[in-house]
Amino acid sequence: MFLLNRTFSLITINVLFIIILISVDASAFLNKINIYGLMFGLAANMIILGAMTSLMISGGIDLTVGSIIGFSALIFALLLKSGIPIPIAIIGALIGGVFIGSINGYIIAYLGISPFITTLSGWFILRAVILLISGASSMAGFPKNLNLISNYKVLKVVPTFIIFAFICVIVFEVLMKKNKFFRQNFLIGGNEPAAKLLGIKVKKVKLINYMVTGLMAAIAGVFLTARYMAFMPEVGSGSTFGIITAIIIGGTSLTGGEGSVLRSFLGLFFVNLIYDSIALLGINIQWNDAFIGAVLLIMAILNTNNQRMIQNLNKWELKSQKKQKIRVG
Amino acid sequence: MKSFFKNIFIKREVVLLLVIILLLTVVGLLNPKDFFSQENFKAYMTVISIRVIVACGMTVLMISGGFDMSVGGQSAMLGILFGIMVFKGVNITISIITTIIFGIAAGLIIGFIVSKLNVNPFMVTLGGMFLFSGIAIIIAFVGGAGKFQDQFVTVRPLPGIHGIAGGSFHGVEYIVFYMVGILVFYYVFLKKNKFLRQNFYIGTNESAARLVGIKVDKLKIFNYALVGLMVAIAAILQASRYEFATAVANENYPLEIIAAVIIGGASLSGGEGSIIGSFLGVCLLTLIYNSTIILGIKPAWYTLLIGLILLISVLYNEFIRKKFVIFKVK
Repeated sequence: MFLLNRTFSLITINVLFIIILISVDASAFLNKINIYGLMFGLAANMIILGAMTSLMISGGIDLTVGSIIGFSALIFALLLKSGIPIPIAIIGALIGGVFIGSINGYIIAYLGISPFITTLSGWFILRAVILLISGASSMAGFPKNLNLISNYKVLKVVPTFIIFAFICVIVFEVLMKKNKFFRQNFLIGGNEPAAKLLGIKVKKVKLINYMVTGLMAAIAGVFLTARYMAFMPEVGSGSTFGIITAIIIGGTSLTGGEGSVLRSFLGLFFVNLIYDSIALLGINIQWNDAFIGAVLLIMAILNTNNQRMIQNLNKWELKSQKKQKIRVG
Repeated sequence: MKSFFKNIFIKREVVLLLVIILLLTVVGLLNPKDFFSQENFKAYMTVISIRVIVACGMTVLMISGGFDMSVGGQSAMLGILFGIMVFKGVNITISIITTIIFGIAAGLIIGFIVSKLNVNPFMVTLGGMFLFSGIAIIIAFVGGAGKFQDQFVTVRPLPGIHGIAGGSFHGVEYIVFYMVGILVFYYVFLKKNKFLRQNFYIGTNESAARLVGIKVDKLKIFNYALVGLMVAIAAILQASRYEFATAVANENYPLEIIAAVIIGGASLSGGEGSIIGSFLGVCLLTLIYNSTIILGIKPAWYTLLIGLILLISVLYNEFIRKKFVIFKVK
């Protein structure tokens, strides 16, 4: 039964991959540059991961996160450009993220529109707004100490961006395990009418979920801008599907009710390991998408442990047994 | 008289048509010379035809409560497959048949996983999106397609296939006839055919449909295969019309098709949707795109308008449901 534990199996897959990579080319994988690259690739998505997992556990989904990263980065860049000090600019960017999140949450929770459609239209709108305001061009030339926000190395080793990303994952893991408010998401995702009858303020919880996701996406946007010391209009555009892919591989079901932040993190780590190994092992980059797609499909099937799948599998077993009997007879 | 207006307001198709006519007039007044030129009309009809064909399949699928994010990847995969086969000099009939078989196979795989293994369609088709667009690029590299800036994998020119879609009859290109044919087929079959109409039952209440004796799983697989078939047809027509095929999947393609179908009256929870509505939805979105080019506006406005229209149409749906539908399911 130990093998069937999902967290354990995900850890095993990750460790196996790392062992393979080290055994193939230790100097390339354990290289400082490679590990920094791997961690920086993870960091922005890790910040949002926890909030998104709790959102998806409650049965929602947010396709706008990638655009919120870009939107808040844009606000941040514009505020800095107009000479506003860094702390106030950060607050402005975060307010922008929470604002978008609250619009999403209001439409979904209070007007009862499907989260997929709402955030899909939000995605289109935000992407366009970013392009229109920024004029589709990047911005640079921010104050020099901005870099310290994400690149300051604690103990001269670990950059603050990566430390903050890990803190986010740990905090959300603990919140989803211990905090009463966040644990309501499991009930809402599992059975919404029942949650309502139990006295959970479903609409309020949903609204706050989307606001928290918007906030975390905005934080990621600020960190990314500080890391690159520039604003790029396409920043965060790949994040949405990257995060959702990781969460699905981590075993959170899209219909809600189950999932864990730790497993989502392991899923994200696995995806980035695949990208890293494809680069390190010198496999052609064109295998990337096909490989990720195949992994995603397999994990989606494996993670769906449901009654009907088992019934169908049993049926096929019976059929094949009958066939064998006929052959024997 | 009041009920007359109420009826018109409820009819989504009428509202859409009015919006399209309004847009046509505005853009026509602003730049009549370019907008009403024959070239523009041809370009507009080509884009509409390709999208409507896919949107028809998607409508049936969404009526049954499913949905497919992988059409962009499928379109890239099938387009490049067809392109490379023609490029390598394979008989055109054989390449068409192979492409169609691959399209149906892709749909069957997705349909099988969604229905028999009962996995959420979003997850499956998201995986399919990555998988198919990855396969597209692999096919292109194996087939030796042209490489541009390390990513754009294209085949051109494709000799001798322009006639399939680009030939014209009294000034109207064949591709438009294909679209009309498929549109009529779907319209009639969704109205009259018992088999396809079962989709409405599945979409409204799947477990009830199962109990009534509808073969839900088989129908769902059929729906996904139908989408694959439509994508294959659209990809072939696109490749032959433009004499050009690319393996780079447009990640907005499935989202825009889904948006058009939803604008046309379908809902993600299933049970609703109409072919005419989807057709008008595609027309509206393509018209907006066309207008941005004709009027020289930034294409970002097109993206912005898609989002706004999608949101408005869903809110409108919800409004009508609350206002006019008598029974409420709580």
